[in-house]
Amino acid sequence: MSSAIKDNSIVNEKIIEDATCTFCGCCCDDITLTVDLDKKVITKAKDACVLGKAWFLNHVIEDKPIARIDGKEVTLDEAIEEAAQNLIDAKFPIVYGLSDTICEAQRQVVPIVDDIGGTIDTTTSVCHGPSGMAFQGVGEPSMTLGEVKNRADFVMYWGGNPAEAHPRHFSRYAVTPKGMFIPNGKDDRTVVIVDVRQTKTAGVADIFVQVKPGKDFELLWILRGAVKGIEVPENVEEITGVSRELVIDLVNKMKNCKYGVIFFGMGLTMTRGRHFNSGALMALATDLNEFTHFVAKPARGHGNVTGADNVVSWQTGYPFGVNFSRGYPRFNPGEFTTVDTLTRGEADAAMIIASDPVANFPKPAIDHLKSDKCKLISIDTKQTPTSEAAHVSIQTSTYGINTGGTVYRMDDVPISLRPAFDSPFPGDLEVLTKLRKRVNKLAKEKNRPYATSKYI
Amino acid sequence: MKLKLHTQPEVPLEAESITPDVLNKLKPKEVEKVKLFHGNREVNLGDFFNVSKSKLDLLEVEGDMFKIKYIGANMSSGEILINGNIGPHLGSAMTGGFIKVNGDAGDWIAPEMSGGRIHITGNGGHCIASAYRGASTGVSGGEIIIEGNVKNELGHGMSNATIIVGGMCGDFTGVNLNSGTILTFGEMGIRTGAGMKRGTIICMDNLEILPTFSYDCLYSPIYLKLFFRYIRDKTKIKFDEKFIDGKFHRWSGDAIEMNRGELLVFSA
Repeated sequence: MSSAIKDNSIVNEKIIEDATCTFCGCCCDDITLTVDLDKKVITKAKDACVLGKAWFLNHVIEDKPIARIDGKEVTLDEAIEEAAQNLIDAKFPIVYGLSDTICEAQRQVVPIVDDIGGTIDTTTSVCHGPSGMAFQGVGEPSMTLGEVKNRADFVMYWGGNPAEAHPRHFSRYAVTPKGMFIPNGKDDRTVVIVDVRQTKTAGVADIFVQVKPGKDFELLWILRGAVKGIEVPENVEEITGVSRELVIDLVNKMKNCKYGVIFFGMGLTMTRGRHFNSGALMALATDLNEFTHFVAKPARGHGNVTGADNVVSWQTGYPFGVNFSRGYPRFNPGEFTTVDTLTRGEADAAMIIASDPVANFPKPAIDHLKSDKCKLISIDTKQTPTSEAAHVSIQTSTYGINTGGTVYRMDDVPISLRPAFDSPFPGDLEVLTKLRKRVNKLAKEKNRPYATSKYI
Repeated sequence: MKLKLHTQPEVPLEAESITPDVLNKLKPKEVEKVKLFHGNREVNLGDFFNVSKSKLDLLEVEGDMFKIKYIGANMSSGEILINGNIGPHLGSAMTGGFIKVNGDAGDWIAPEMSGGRIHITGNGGHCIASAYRGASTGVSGGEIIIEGNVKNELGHGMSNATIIVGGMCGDFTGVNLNSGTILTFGEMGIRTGAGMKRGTIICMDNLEILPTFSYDCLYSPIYLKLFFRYIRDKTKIKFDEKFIDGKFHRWSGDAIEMNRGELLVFSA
């Protein structure tokens, strides 16, 4: 097997073939990177989309301290000691983020939370969390993107804008690529876009369905009814903004395709109705399996948010918002999710890993994070408002560029990373493994009843 | 027995031991040593409550307890009187007895309740009498009266219980209802009864009905007259006498499920 990494000693340049971009949930693993090893920058990112290029080409090694406590530079071990003490002393600590780091690092976090009797929550709770709840309620008619590429002749996007959020989703997986049973690419597919407004995505649509804002559930309910043989109501246009003829045509196309797929975005999960909206969509896909093969999948945002769901599910049984206060995992979004816990002023310590809630959470939550009542610990690759406000701040290297590991693509397929160049900052895995060992030792010293007895 | 909150918990306090089944057998000194969970730490009940004997033959709890969860959990008999606001999971999995709250209640009241009664004089939160996430059946018996307003997902997946709401309801009232009765007097949110299989939802206010419900008739169900008189006698909910002899539009749904549910809407 030949190595994909070639060194060019004359200009000290390195070419990395088949590198993985971890910017969005597509996790494209066919990028060719050209790295200037002297300047420690990526100079070219062949085949990357506009977002991928921005991700790779703008990455620089910042001249910042690795660890700080209250703004003062300290050693990594001192920062880890302080973080461990804060977490073990807390009565209701919360650990949040995780979507922009590797699965191996995410795996270290669950035992930390178990030992400190805290809550683990991922950024899923503010994006596709409702879909996670709907999976439990109605099930997930699942697939991989490879199947979509090779088989799907009916592709629907609902409440998302992949042209701008996942630019290569069309060309690599779902719209234009030629597949085993789709020899003519887009010509063999019917592409339907459902959204409340015309976006760039609507440009690729064979059928664009403009639904009234906040009426997605009603339209899904009418489609479900029509699939089950219930007559489409005469006033469907008045209710949903979509004509009766179009609804009937859509149902016929869905029932008569060979392999249908619906990708859905936050237009569905973060609007009124939330988990019931996602649930209705997945129930529609499930119902359609009476006639043909039909699947649905959320179009996930962050590079490894799918991995966070998978790792937390694998270790606790639930995908996000899992509480260990009583020594066993309990799942209850709204009660144990970060925004709610912080807004109610409950958490007395918060460790934020690879996320920036101070920049984008509601004000009461930010106020609590910044207050004396909550010890804030930040582990992040960049300087952010969260790392600036943190009591303990640790800067780590960037996954996919400086450190390797495993990430999950949005269809739950694990992909290995090929890092481009080294960083002076430690990886998330190294920091979290050290923290895990220290927290476990402290938990045993303090006779915490739920301290894990040994590493697994 | 009377418990009075003297220290506000810093983080959520889980107090499933505060139930007549546990405390009625104990003396006040023993009650003070009953274990509660303050976040992830085990604490004594006495750390947060003053315990004294009560003249009344019931368990009285007093204070602003919005951070206190699981009071009356697994309760099978007896009575709890709560003076003040109460936090989530009140009466979780209770099988009998009576809980009266003179104040507001948090989210997730009476999940998995199978018997007994809860009466809240103030407002309630989200997911009252709702199935836990992932469960298809929630409350399977008992009666819940909320005189004020409630938020979303009232009676999600409920079977065979009765809920009366004096005020407004949020969205998805009676969603995935298996059976049982929900009666509401105030303004309704959207998508009432979505996915209901059987059961009855009775609304006094006009509401947006999902397109998968079909209209049946206008009629005056006799049992409603008895129901209204029961509400008038048992609660302080003030309602117009016209409801008692009023006519109701009957809608059947949800056609996506079994279509055996009924939605009764008062005809003004």
